[in-house]
Amino acid sequence: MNCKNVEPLLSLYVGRDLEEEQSRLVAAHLRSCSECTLAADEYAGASQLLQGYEPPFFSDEIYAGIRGQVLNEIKREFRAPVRPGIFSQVFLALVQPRMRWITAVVLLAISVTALYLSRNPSHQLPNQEQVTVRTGEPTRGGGGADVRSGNSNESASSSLLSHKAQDHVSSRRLPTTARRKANAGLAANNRSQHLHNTKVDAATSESVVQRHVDVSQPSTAPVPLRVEMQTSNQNIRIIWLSTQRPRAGARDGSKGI
Amino acid sequence: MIPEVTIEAHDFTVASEKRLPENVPTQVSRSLARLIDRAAAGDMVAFDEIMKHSEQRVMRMTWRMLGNEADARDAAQEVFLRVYKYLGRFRQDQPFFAWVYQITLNVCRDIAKKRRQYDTQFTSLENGGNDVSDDQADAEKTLIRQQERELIMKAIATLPERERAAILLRDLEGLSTDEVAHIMRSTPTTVRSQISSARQKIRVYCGRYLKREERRPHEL
Repeated sequence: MNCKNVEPLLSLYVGRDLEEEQSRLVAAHLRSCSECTLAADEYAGASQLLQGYEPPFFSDEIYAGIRGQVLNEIKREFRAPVRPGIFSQVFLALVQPRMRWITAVVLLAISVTALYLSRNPSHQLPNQEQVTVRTGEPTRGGGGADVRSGNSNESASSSLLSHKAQDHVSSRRLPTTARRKANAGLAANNRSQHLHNTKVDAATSESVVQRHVDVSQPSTAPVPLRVEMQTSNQNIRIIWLSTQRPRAGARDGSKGI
Repeated sequence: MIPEVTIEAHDFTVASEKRLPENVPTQVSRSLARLIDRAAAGDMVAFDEIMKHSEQRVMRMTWRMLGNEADARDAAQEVFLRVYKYLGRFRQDQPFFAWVYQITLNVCRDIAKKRRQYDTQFTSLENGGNDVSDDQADAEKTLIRQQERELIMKAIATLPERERAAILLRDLEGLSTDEVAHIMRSTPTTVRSQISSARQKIRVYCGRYLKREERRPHEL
Protein backbone atom coordinates (compact mmCIF):
# COMPACT_ATOMS: atom_id res chain seq x y z
CA MET A 1 0.00 0.00 0.00
CA ASN A 2 1.21 3.51 -0.76
CA CYS A 3 0.62 6.75 1.15
CA LYS A 4 -2.38 7.64 -0.98
CA ASN A 5 -4.12 4.46 -0.01
CA VAL A 6 -3.07 4.55 3.63
CA GLU A 7 -3.93 8.12 4.43
CA PRO A 8 -7.73 7.68 4.41
CA LEU A 9 -7.37 4.63 6.61
CA LEU A 10 -5.18 6.17 9.27
CA SER A 11 -8.00 7.50 11.43
CA LEU A 12 -9.70 4.14 11.37
CA TYR A 13 -6.41 2.39 12.02
CA VAL A 14 -5.77 4.50 15.12
CA GLY A 15 -9.31 3.85 16.34
CA ARG A 16 -8.98 0.12 15.58
CA ASP A 17 -11.91 0.18 13.23
CA LEU A 18 -10.21 -1.64 10.38
CA GLU A 19 -10.46 -5.28 9.49
CA GLU A 20 -7.52 -7.39 10.51
CA GLU A 21 -6.05 -7.65 7.03
CA GLN A 22 -6.29 -3.91 6.36
CA SER A 23 -4.84 -3.13 9.76
CA ARG A 24 -1.86 -5.38 9.05
CA LEU A 25 -1.22 -3.67 5.71
CA VAL A 26 -1.38 -0.18 7.22
CA ALA A 27 0.98 -1.19 10.03
CA ALA A 28 3.45 -2.51 7.47
CA HIS A 29 3.32 0.78 5.57
CA LEU A 30 3.83 2.82 8.72
CA ARG A 31 7.04 0.97 9.47
CA SER A 32 8.48 2.29 6.25
CA CYS A 33 6.87 5.76 5.95
CA SER A 34 7.76 8.48 8.44
CA GLU A 35 5.24 10.94 7.03
CA CYS A 36 2.32 8.61 7.55
CA THR A 37 3.70 7.68 10.95
CA LEU A 38 3.65 11.35 11.93
CA ALA A 39 0.07 11.64 10.76
CA ALA A 40 -0.85 8.55 12.76
CA ASP A 41 0.76 10.09 15.81
CA GLU A 42 -1.39 13.18 15.38
CA TYR A 43 -4.48 11.03 15.18
CA ALA A 44 -3.41 9.28 18.35
CA GLY A 45 -2.84 12.62 20.08
CA ALA A 46 -6.25 13.86 19.03
CA SER A 47 -7.77 10.64 20.29
CA GLN A 48 -6.07 11.16 23.63
CA LEU A 49 -7.35 14.69 23.78
CA LEU A 50 -10.81 13.38 23.03
CA GLN A 51 -10.60 11.07 26.01
CA GLY A 52 -10.26 14.16 28.15
CA TYR A 53 -13.66 15.36 27.05
CA GLU A 54 -15.29 14.32 30.27
CA PRO A 55 -18.33 15.98 31.74
CA PRO A 56 -18.07 17.75 35.08
CA PHE A 57 -18.95 15.98 38.25
CA PHE A 58 -22.67 15.85 38.86
CA SER A 59 -23.59 15.46 42.48
CA ASP A 60 -26.21 13.10 43.82
CA GLU A 61 -28.41 16.09 44.52
CA ILE A 62 -28.45 16.92 40.83
CA TYR A 63 -29.45 13.38 39.91
CA ALA A 64 -32.05 13.28 42.68
CA GLY A 65 -33.46 16.56 41.44
CA ILE A 66 -33.77 15.24 37.91
CA ARG A 67 -35.47 12.08 39.12
CA GLY A 68 -37.85 14.04 41.28
CA GLN A 69 -38.80 16.35 38.45
CA VAL A 70 -39.33 13.41 36.14
CA LEU A 71 -41.55 11.60 38.62
CA ASN A 72 -43.58 14.73 39.29
CA GLU A 73 -43.97 15.33 35.60
CA ILE A 74 -45.09 11.77 35.09
CA LYS A 75 -47.69 12.06 37.85
CA ARG A 76 -48.97 15.28 36.36
CA GLU A 77 -48.86 14.30 32.72
CA PHE A 78 -49.81 10.65 32.85
CA ARG A 79 -52.60 10.97 35.39
CA ALA A 80 -55.59 8.79 34.66
CA PRO A 81 -57.90 10.78 32.44
CA VAL A 82 -61.44 11.59 33.57
CA ARG A 83 -63.90 9.30 31.88
CA PRO A 84 -65.91 11.34 29.38
CA GLY A 85 -69.69 11.28 29.26
CA ILE A 86 -71.74 9.18 26.89
CA PHE A 87 -72.29 12.02 24.42
CA SER A 88 -68.62 12.88 24.46
CA GLN A 89 -67.75 9.24 23.85
CA VAL A 90 -70.17 9.04 20.92
CA PHE A 91 -68.88 12.29 19.49
CA LEU A 92 -65.28 11.22 19.91
CA ALA A 93 -66.08 7.88 18.31
CA LEU A 94 -67.75 9.55 15.35
CA VAL A 95 -64.89 11.94 14.69
CA GLN A 96 -62.28 9.23 14.85
CA PRO A 97 -60.50 8.70 11.56
CA ARG A 98 -61.90 5.22 11.11
CA MET A 99 -65.49 6.41 11.62
CA ARG A 100 -65.33 9.58 9.58
CA TRP A 101 -66.41 7.92 6.36
CA ILE A 102 -69.30 6.10 8.01
CA THR A 103 -70.46 9.28 9.68
CA ALA A 104 -70.25 11.19 6.42
CA VAL A 105 -72.23 8.52 4.56
CA VAL A 106 -74.95 8.42 7.23
CA LEU A 107 -75.29 12.19 7.26
CA LEU A 108 -75.41 12.25 3.47
CA ALA A 109 -78.13 9.59 3.39
CA ILE A 110 -80.20 11.49 5.94
CA SER A 111 -79.81 14.71 3.98
CA VAL A 112 -80.81 13.09 0.68
CA THR A 113 -83.86 11.44 2.26
CA ALA A 114 -85.00 14.67 3.85
CA LEU A 115 -84.55 16.53 0.58
CA TYR A 116 -86.45 13.87 -1.36
CA LEU A 117 -89.37 13.89 1.06
CA SER A 118 -89.56 17.65 1.08
CA ARG A 119 -89.77 17.78 -2.73
CA ASN A 120 -92.31 14.93 -3.11
CA PRO A 121 -95.40 15.75 -1.04
CA SER A 122 -97.23 12.75 -2.51
CA HIS A 123 -95.37 10.66 0.00
CA GLN A 124 -97.06 12.57 2.79
CA LEU A 125 -100.58 11.21 3.30
CA PRO A 126 -101.94 12.89 6.38
CA ASN A 127 -104.80 14.70 4.61
CA GLN A 128 -105.45 12.19 1.93
CA GLU A 129 -108.97 11.88 0.64
CA GLN A 130 -109.70 8.20 0.31
CA VAL A 131 -112.51 6.63 -1.64
CA THR A 132 -113.02 2.93 -1.36
CA VAL A 133 -115.11 1.10 -3.95
CA ARG A 134 -116.13 -2.45 -3.38
CA THR A 135 -117.66 -4.41 -6.16
CA GLY A 136 -119.62 -7.51 -5.47
CA GLU A 137 -119.44 -10.72 -7.38
CA PRO A 138 -120.79 -10.39 -10.90
CA THR A 139 -124.06 -12.02 -11.80
CA ARG A 140 -123.50 -15.52 -12.90
CA GLY A 141 -124.90 -16.03 -16.42
CA GLY A 142 -127.59 -14.04 -18.19
CA GLY A 143 -130.40 -15.82 -16.32
CA GLY A 144 -129.55 -14.04 -13.23
CA ALA A 145 -130.29 -10.74 -14.87
CA ASP A 146 -133.66 -11.91 -15.97
CA VAL A 147 -134.72 -13.13 -12.61
CA ARG A 148 -133.48 -9.96 -11.01
CA SER A 149 -134.99 -7.66 -13.58
CA GLY A 150 -138.15 -7.14 -11.60
CA ASN A 151 -136.25 -5.84 -8.69
CA SER A 152 -133.51 -4.16 -10.54
CA ASN A 153 -134.77 -0.68 -9.84
CA GLU A 154 -135.20 -1.47 -6.22
CA SER A 155 -131.83 -3.04 -6.11
CA ALA A 156 -130.31 -0.09 -7.81
CA SER A 157 -132.09 2.31 -5.56
CA SER A 158 -131.10 0.38 -2.52
CA SER A 159 -127.59 0.31 -3.80
CA LEU A 160 -127.72 4.01 -4.39
CA LEU A 161 -129.29 4.50 -1.03
CA SER A 162 -126.64 2.42 0.51
CA HIS A 163 -123.97 4.39 -1.27
CA LYS A 164 -125.52 7.72 -0.36
CA ALA A 165 -126.18 6.79 3.19
CA GLN A 166 -122.70 5.52 3.74
CA ASP A 167 -121.27 8.51 2.00
CA HIS A 168 -123.33 10.70 4.20
CA VAL A 169 -122.31 8.89 7.34
CA SER A 170 -118.70 8.87 6.47
CA SER A 171 -118.37 12.36 5.21
CA ARG A 172 -120.28 14.04 7.99
CA ARG A 173 -118.54 12.12 10.71
CA LEU A 174 -121.66 11.47 12.66
CA PRO A 175 -121.49 10.31 16.20
CA THR A 176 -121.09 6.63 16.73
CA THR A 177 -124.68 6.01 17.79
CA ALA A 178 -126.13 7.80 14.78
CA ARG A 179 -123.81 5.95 12.50
CA ARG A 180 -124.92 2.66 13.99
CA LYS A 181 -128.56 3.54 13.35
CA ALA A 182 -127.86 4.45 9.77
CA ASN A 183 -125.92 1.28 9.21
CA ALA A 184 -128.70 -0.74 10.85
CA GLY A 185 -131.23 0.77 8.44
CA LEU A 186 -129.01 -0.05 5.54
CA ALA A 187 -128.56 -3.57 6.75
CA ALA A 188 -132.31 -4.04 7.05
CA ASN A 189 -132.83 -2.69 3.59
CA ASN A 190 -130.18 -4.97 2.19
CA ARG A 191 -131.65 -7.91 4.06
CA SER A 192 -135.08 -7.32 2.53
CA GLN A 193 -133.50 -6.99 -0.88
CA HIS A 194 -131.61 -10.18 -0.28
CA LEU A 195 -134.89 -11.96 0.52
CA HIS A 196 -136.29 -10.70 -2.78
CA ASN A 197 -133.43 -12.25 -4.63
CA THR A 198 -133.36 -15.64 -3.04
CA LYS A 199 -133.39 -17.27 -6.44
CA VAL A 200 -130.20 -15.61 -7.42
CA ASP A 201 -127.26 -17.79 -6.70
CA ALA A 202 -124.75 -15.07 -6.48
CA ALA A 203 -124.98 -11.73 -4.92
CA THR A 204 -125.93 -8.92 -7.18
CA SER A 205 -123.44 -6.39 -8.25
CA GLU A 206 -122.92 -4.00 -5.49
CA SER A 207 -120.93 -0.91 -5.41
CA VAL A 208 -120.03 0.65 -2.17
CA VAL A 209 -118.22 3.91 -2.17
CA GLN A 210 -116.66 5.16 0.96
CA ARG A 211 -115.11 8.54 1.19
CA HIS A 212 -113.02 9.50 4.12
CA VAL A 213 -112.63 13.20 4.30
CA ASP A 214 -110.73 15.01 6.93
CA VAL A 215 -113.11 17.84 7.79
CA SER A 216 -110.46 19.70 9.64
CA GLN A 217 -108.92 20.63 6.29
CA PRO A 218 -110.72 22.76 3.73
CA SER A 219 -112.07 20.68 0.91
CA THR A 220 -110.61 22.99 -1.71
CA ALA A 221 -107.08 22.13 -0.74
CA PRO A 222 -105.26 20.22 -3.48
CA VAL A 223 -104.80 17.08 -1.45
CA PRO A 224 -104.19 13.82 -3.31
CA LEU A 225 -107.10 11.49 -3.94
CA ARG A 226 -106.86 7.79 -3.22
CA VAL A 227 -109.45 5.33 -4.49
CA GLU A 228 -109.38 1.67 -3.59
CA MET A 229 -111.56 -0.87 -5.36
CA GLN A 230 -111.90 -4.35 -4.03
CA THR A 231 -112.75 -6.78 -6.80
CA SER A 232 -114.57 -10.05 -6.43
CA ASN A 233 -111.28 -11.72 -6.13
CA GLN A 234 -110.07 -11.07 -2.63
CA ASN A 235 -106.49 -11.10 -3.81
CA ILE A 236 -106.98 -8.26 -6.29
CA ARG A 237 -107.36 -4.73 -5.04
CA ILE A 238 -107.28 -1.74 -7.36
CA ILE A 239 -105.83 1.42 -5.93
CA TRP A 240 -106.14 4.66 -7.82
CA LEU A 241 -104.16 7.71 -6.83
CA SER A 242 -104.67 11.20 -8.13
CA THR A 243 -103.44 14.57 -7.06
CA GLN A 244 -106.46 16.26 -8.67
CA ARG A 245 -109.86 16.29 -7.11
CA PRO A 246 -112.74 14.66 -8.94
CA ARG A 247 -115.12 16.85 -10.87
CA ALA A 248 -117.87 18.69 -9.14
CA GLY A 249 -120.50 16.43 -10.62
CA ALA A 250 -118.77 13.38 -9.34
CA ARG A 251 -118.53 14.40 -5.74
CA ASP A 252 -120.41 11.31 -4.69
CA GLY A 253 -117.50 9.28 -5.95
CA SER A 254 -119.40 6.80 -8.05
CA LYS A 255 -119.36 8.88 -11.24
CA GLY A 256 -115.79 9.94 -10.87
CA ILE A 257 -114.47 6.46 -10.88
CA MET B 1 -31.67 -15.56 45.93
CA ILE B 2 -31.63 -15.63 42.18
CA PRO B 3 -28.16 -15.19 40.79
CA GLU B 4 -27.56 -12.31 38.41
CA VAL B 5 -27.70 -13.68 34.90
CA THR B 6 -26.86 -11.61 31.90
CA ILE B 7 -28.78 -11.95 28.67
CA GLU B 8 -27.02 -11.58 25.40
CA ALA B 9 -29.35 -9.29 23.53
CA HIS B 10 -27.29 -8.61 20.46
CA ASP B 11 -24.28 -10.21 18.94
CA PHE B 12 -22.52 -7.19 17.59
CA THR B 13 -19.03 -8.42 18.20
CA VAL B 14 -16.71 -8.01 15.27
CA ALA B 15 -13.42 -9.82 15.15
CA SER B 16 -11.38 -6.66 14.98
CA GLU B 17 -13.28 -4.94 17.77
CA LYS B 18 -11.69 -6.27 20.91
CA ARG B 19 -11.78 -3.09 22.92
CA LEU B 20 -15.16 -3.09 24.62
CA PRO B 21 -15.46 -1.35 27.95
CA GLU B 22 -17.42 -2.65 30.86
CA ASN B 23 -20.47 -0.54 30.18
CA VAL B 24 -21.35 -1.96 26.81
CA PRO B 25 -25.12 -1.80 26.36
CA THR B 26 -25.40 -5.13 24.62
CA GLN B 27 -26.16 -7.02 27.78
CA VAL B 28 -29.37 -6.61 29.69
CA SER B 29 -29.43 -8.10 33.13
CA ARG B 30 -32.43 -10.12 34.16
CA SER B 31 -33.04 -7.84 37.10
CA LEU B 32 -33.15 -4.87 34.76
CA ALA B 33 -35.57 -6.72 32.53
CA ARG B 34 -37.84 -7.27 35.54
CA LEU B 35 -37.58 -3.61 36.43
CA ILE B 36 -38.54 -2.69 32.90
CA ASP B 37 -41.59 -4.95 33.04
CA ARG B 38 -42.70 -3.47 36.32
CA ALA B 39 -42.12 0.09 35.18
CA ALA B 40 -44.05 -0.54 31.98
CA ALA B 41 -46.93 -1.70 34.17
CA GLY B 42 -46.86 1.62 36.01
CA ASP B 43 -44.61 0.82 38.96
CA MET B 44 -42.95 4.14 39.74
CA VAL B 45 -40.52 2.60 42.19
CA ALA B 46 -39.22 0.35 39.46
CA PHE B 47 -38.93 3.27 37.08
CA ASP B 48 -37.01 5.22 39.71
CA GLU B 49 -34.58 2.31 39.89
CA ILE B 50 -34.21 2.35 36.13
CA MET B 51 -33.41 6.05 36.25
CA LYS B 52 -30.79 5.46 38.92
CA HIS B 53 -29.38 2.70 36.79
CA SER B 54 -28.97 4.86 33.69
CA GLU B 55 -28.81 8.47 34.84
CA GLN B 56 -25.03 8.80 34.73
CA ARG B 57 -24.88 7.38 31.25
CA VAL B 58 -27.63 9.70 30.06
CA MET B 59 -26.20 12.80 31.71
CA ARG B 60 -22.75 12.09 30.36
CA MET B 61 -24.06 11.72 26.83
CA THR B 62 -26.34 14.76 26.97
CA TRP B 63 -23.56 16.92 28.33
CA ARG B 64 -21.15 15.77 25.65
CA MET B 65 -23.69 16.37 22.92
CA LEU B 66 -24.93 19.73 24.16
CA GLY B 67 -21.86 21.08 25.89
CA ASN B 68 -23.39 22.67 28.99
CA GLU B 69 -24.93 21.49 32.21
CA ALA B 70 -28.26 23.29 32.01
CA ASP B 71 -29.14 21.82 28.64
CA ALA B 72 -27.81 18.46 29.73
CA ARG B 73 -30.12 18.40 32.74
CA ASP B 74 -33.13 19.44 30.68
CA ALA B 75 -32.26 16.82 28.10
CA ALA B 76 -31.84 14.09 30.70
CA GLN B 77 -35.21 14.94 32.18
CA GLU B 78 -36.84 14.77 28.78
CA VAL B 79 -35.07 11.52 28.01
CA PHE B 80 -36.51 9.84 31.09
CA LEU B 81 -39.95 11.19 30.37
CA ARG B 82 -39.80 9.70 26.89
CA VAL B 83 -38.43 6.46 28.27
CA TYR B 84 -41.41 6.19 30.58
CA LYS B 85 -43.84 7.20 27.87
CA TYR B 86 -42.62 4.65 25.37
CA LEU B 87 -41.52 1.92 27.73
CA GLY B 88 -44.47 -0.17 26.61
CA ARG B 89 -43.06 -0.24 23.09
CA PHE B 90 -39.65 -1.41 24.19
CA ARG B 91 -38.94 -4.95 23.08
CA GLN B 92 -36.94 -7.08 25.44
CA ASP B 93 -34.98 -8.59 22.58
CA GLN B 94 -33.09 -5.36 21.97
CA PRO B 95 -30.49 -3.82 24.25
CA PHE B 96 -32.10 -1.43 26.67
CA PHE B 97 -29.29 1.10 26.78
CA ALA B 98 -29.04 1.23 23.02
CA TRP B 99 -32.71 2.16 23.07
CA VAL B 100 -31.99 4.80 25.72
CA TYR B 101 -29.16 6.15 23.59
CA GLN B 102 -31.52 6.46 20.66
CA ILE B 103 -33.90 8.52 22.74
CA THR B 104 -31.02 10.56 24.09
CA LEU B 105 -29.79 11.46 20.64
CA ASN B 106 -33.29 12.42 19.54
CA VAL B 107 -33.76 14.64 22.57
CA CYS B 108 -30.35 16.25 22.11
CA ARG B 109 -31.16 16.95 18.49
CA ASP B 110 -34.44 18.62 19.47
CA ILE B 111 -32.80 20.72 22.16
CA ALA B 112 -29.94 21.66 19.85
CA LYS B 113 -32.47 22.97 17.35
CA LYS B 114 -34.08 25.12 20.00
CA ARG B 115 -30.71 26.25 21.20
CA ARG B 116 -29.73 27.35 17.71
CA GLN B 117 -32.81 29.53 17.71
CA TYR B 118 -31.57 31.29 20.83
CA ASP B 119 -27.99 31.32 19.56
CA THR B 120 -26.43 29.83 22.66
CA GLN B 121 -23.06 28.16 22.45
CA PHE B 122 -21.09 25.49 24.16
CA THR B 123 -20.01 26.76 27.53
CA SER B 124 -16.36 27.45 27.90
CA LEU B 125 -14.17 25.56 30.29
CA GLU B 126 -14.25 28.42 32.77
CA ASN B 127 -17.94 27.85 33.18
CA GLY B 128 -18.37 24.18 32.57
CA GLY B 129 -15.09 22.62 33.57
CA ASN B 130 -15.49 22.50 37.30
CA ASP B 131 -14.19 18.99 37.77
CA VAL B 132 -10.62 20.13 38.17
CA SER B 133 -9.90 19.69 41.82
CA ASP B 134 -8.44 22.64 43.63
CA ASP B 135 -6.01 20.62 45.65
CA GLN B 136 -3.82 19.82 42.66
CA ALA B 137 -0.45 21.25 43.39
CA ASP B 138 0.77 21.73 39.92
CA ALA B 139 -1.05 24.79 38.63
CA GLU B 140 0.65 24.56 35.27
CA LYS B 141 -0.55 21.04 34.77
CA THR B 142 -4.03 22.11 35.66
CA LEU B 143 -3.88 24.92 33.18
CA ILE B 144 -2.68 22.59 30.43
CA ARG B 145 -5.50 20.20 31.08
CA GLN B 146 -7.95 23.03 31.02
CA GLN B 147 -6.61 24.23 27.70
CA GLU B 148 -6.82 20.76 26.26
CA ARG B 149 -10.38 20.34 27.35
CA GLU B 150 -11.37 23.67 25.91
CA LEU B 151 -9.64 22.78 22.70
CA ILE B 152 -11.36 19.46 22.29
CA MET B 153 -14.67 20.99 23.28
CA LYS B 154 -14.39 23.56 20.54
CA ALA B 155 -13.32 20.89 18.11
CA ILE B 156 -16.34 18.77 18.91
CA ALA B 157 -18.60 21.79 18.67
CA THR B 158 -17.55 22.19 15.06
CA LEU B 159 -18.67 18.69 14.12
CA PRO B 160 -21.98 18.01 12.46
CA GLU B 161 -24.51 16.43 14.74
CA ARG B 162 -24.33 12.91 13.38
CA GLU B 163 -20.55 12.87 13.23
CA ARG B 164 -20.43 14.14 16.80
CA ALA B 165 -22.85 11.46 17.95
CA ALA B 166 -20.94 8.76 16.12
CA ILE B 167 -17.54 9.63 17.51
CA LEU B 168 -18.85 10.15 21.04
CA LEU B 169 -20.58 6.80 21.05
CA ARG B 170 -17.62 5.03 19.49
CA ASP B 171 -14.62 6.66 21.14
CA LEU B 172 -16.01 7.84 24.46
CA GLU B 173 -18.90 5.52 25.23
CA GLY B 174 -16.89 2.60 23.87
CA LEU B 175 -19.57 1.08 21.66
CA SER B 176 -18.74 -0.93 18.58
CA THR B 177 -19.37 0.39 15.10
CA ASP B 178 -22.29 -1.96 14.66
CA GLU B 179 -23.84 -0.84 17.90
CA VAL B 180 -23.43 2.79 16.94
CA ALA B 181 -25.02 2.02 13.60
CA HIS B 182 -27.93 0.35 15.37
CA ILE B 183 -28.40 3.33 17.68
CA MET B 184 -28.19 5.84 14.89
CA ARG B 185 -30.36 3.70 12.60
CA SER B 186 -27.63 3.66 10.01
CA THR B 187 -25.20 1.23 8.45
CA PRO B 188 -21.77 0.32 9.87
CA THR B 189 -20.14 1.61 6.69
CA THR B 190 -21.80 4.99 7.05
CA VAL B 191 -20.91 5.16 10.71
CA ARG B 192 -17.32 4.26 9.96
CA SER B 193 -17.20 7.04 7.40
CA GLN B 194 -18.67 9.52 9.86
CA ILE B 195 -16.20 8.49 12.53
CA SER B 196 -13.29 8.80 10.15
CA SER B 197 -14.43 12.25 9.06
CA ALA B 198 -14.87 13.38 12.64
CA ARG B 199 -11.40 12.18 13.62
CA GLN B 200 -9.85 13.98 10.69
CA LYS B 201 -11.59 17.22 11.62
CA ILE B 202 -10.52 16.94 15.23
CA ARG B 203 -6.98 16.23 14.19
CA VAL B 204 -6.93 19.28 11.93
CA TYR B 205 -8.50 21.46 14.58
CA CYS B 206 -6.07 20.32 17.24
CA GLY B 207 -3.13 20.00 14.88
CA ARG B 208 -1.39 23.19 15.85
CA TYR B 209 -1.69 22.41 19.50
CA LEU B 210 -0.49 18.88 19.00
CA LYS B 211 2.53 20.00 16.98
CA ARG B 212 3.35 22.71 19.46
CA GLU B 213 3.28 20.32 22.33
CA GLU B 214 5.33 17.81 20.34
CA ARG B 215 3.54 14.96 21.92
CA ARG B 216 5.14 11.62 21.82
CA PRO B 217 3.37 9.10 19.63
CA HIS B 218 1.29 6.59 21.51
CA GLU B 219 1.68 2.95 21.06
CA LEU B 220 -1.08 1.43 19.03
